[in-house]
Amino acid sequence: MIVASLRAQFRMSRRDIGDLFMVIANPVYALIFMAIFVHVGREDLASYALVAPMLMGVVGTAAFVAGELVMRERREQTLEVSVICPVPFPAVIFSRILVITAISMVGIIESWLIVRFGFGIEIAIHHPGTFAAAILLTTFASAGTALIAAAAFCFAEEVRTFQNSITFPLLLFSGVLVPVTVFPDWLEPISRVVFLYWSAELLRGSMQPEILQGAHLELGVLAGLGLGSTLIGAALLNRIIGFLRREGRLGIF
Amino acid sequence: MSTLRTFRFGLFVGIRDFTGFWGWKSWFGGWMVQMIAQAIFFSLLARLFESPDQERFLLIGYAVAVGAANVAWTIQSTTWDRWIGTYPLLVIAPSSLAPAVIGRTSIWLPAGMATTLLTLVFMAIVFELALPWPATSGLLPLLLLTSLSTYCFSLFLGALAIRIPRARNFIHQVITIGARAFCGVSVPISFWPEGVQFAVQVLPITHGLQAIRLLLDEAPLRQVLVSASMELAVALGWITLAVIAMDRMANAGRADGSIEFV
Repeated sequence: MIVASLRAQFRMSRRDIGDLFMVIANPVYALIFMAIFVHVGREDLASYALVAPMLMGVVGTAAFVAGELVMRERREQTLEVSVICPVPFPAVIFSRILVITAISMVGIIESWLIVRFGFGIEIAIHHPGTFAAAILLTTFASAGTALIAAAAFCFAEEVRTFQNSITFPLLLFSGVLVPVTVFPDWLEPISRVVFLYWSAELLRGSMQPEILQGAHLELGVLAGLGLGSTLIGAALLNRIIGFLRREGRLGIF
Repeated sequence: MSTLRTFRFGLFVGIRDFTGFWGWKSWFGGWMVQMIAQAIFFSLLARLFESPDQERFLLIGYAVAVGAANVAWTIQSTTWDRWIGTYPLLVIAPSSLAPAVIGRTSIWLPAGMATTLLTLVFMAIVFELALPWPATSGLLPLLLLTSLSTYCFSLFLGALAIRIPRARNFIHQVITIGARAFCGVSVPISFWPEGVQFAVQVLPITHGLQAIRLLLDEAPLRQVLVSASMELAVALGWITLAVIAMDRMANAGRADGSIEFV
């Protein structure tokens, strides 16, 4: 079932120019950040130019997916059919979200190419194991978070106005581009609840030659946040679908 | 007279478009929060290498860029008549297509200007962005000019997007991010290879933003006016192309029967 949903979503995304935008935006943001670093003569900050665009892509995609996926099913009157299938609905949605999120991850390779061939700067990944684990767990955690948001958005249409209002505050305060140390101290505990904080730390860390202190613990936190958000998202989506079924509003809104 | 009337009704539809998206609360609490956060997000990059000059450069650049991106909603707004099936009616109406489309889309011009102004005010208060007086009093006309040329360019792209309405968001995103990279928002245009420098001369924002930067750095008035007049030339060029393209696209759509519902 999961393979079938993955395949179906891949086919849909391949045709949908909106889903693919991040694949193009990613390297341009890397270009912008890198241009600024080169302009001020700080090429050593190149890892920031790689990690930030990728996480921006992840968040942008998650918000977009959250806003569109379930709503589109409702609008096209296919939600009823999906819901009465004998497979758990959140699992179908989750695997579809996973595909779109994974596509947005391709951006890091493009960003790397831009930095390497556009500016001639080689970024070595000193801790490939940590890097790979962080990428995988980030995909997982962002899909989980998108699931929560998808459930919330499908319940309340008016919430969708804020669909695109939360991404940059989130990116800003979770230290995706600039570490949270530039912000007031009281903000840091809040940042730590967001998976992006851990992803950014781990991904940037894996590009530094120094040995990473406590990387396992950070990966563990990231995994925990991913699992937690997926479970909460699934439960929320189930409840909301149940509510919509009782009210007879699956396809009517 | 009928042109003005058509424009007025177009604008009325535009205002409804706007209020369909935003009320006061959601505009300030949602839209502006996102835009200001976006401008801060990019500007704080300068904290990584502790350069107040670069931070000022980015703050001004991105305050203008977020507003311009809003003005560029004109691209999407141009295609909305196709989605709701009113486009063929506008095409067969005896009045020209241009005032109706310009009327409906022009709402994004004040919306974008307000976005930039509020962002700048926020930056002045929170990030102590210096806005010297009385030079700053010239900001409004320059911002209007920059927004206007962005609007004219977007109208041209919108006219093209009428033929491929599915690509409207994509076109918007590409030019938004392209402007940030190459039009002097993030780094001075002299950073880029000569070919790029040459190409951005005919794009909006390049000269307008330069004029705003010169103004806020209290450069001689003559320099400000030179940049401003180049931005004006860019605006005039694009509005001409936009009006030509709009009719061409409508005629092409009539010829191959593709002006119906999408």
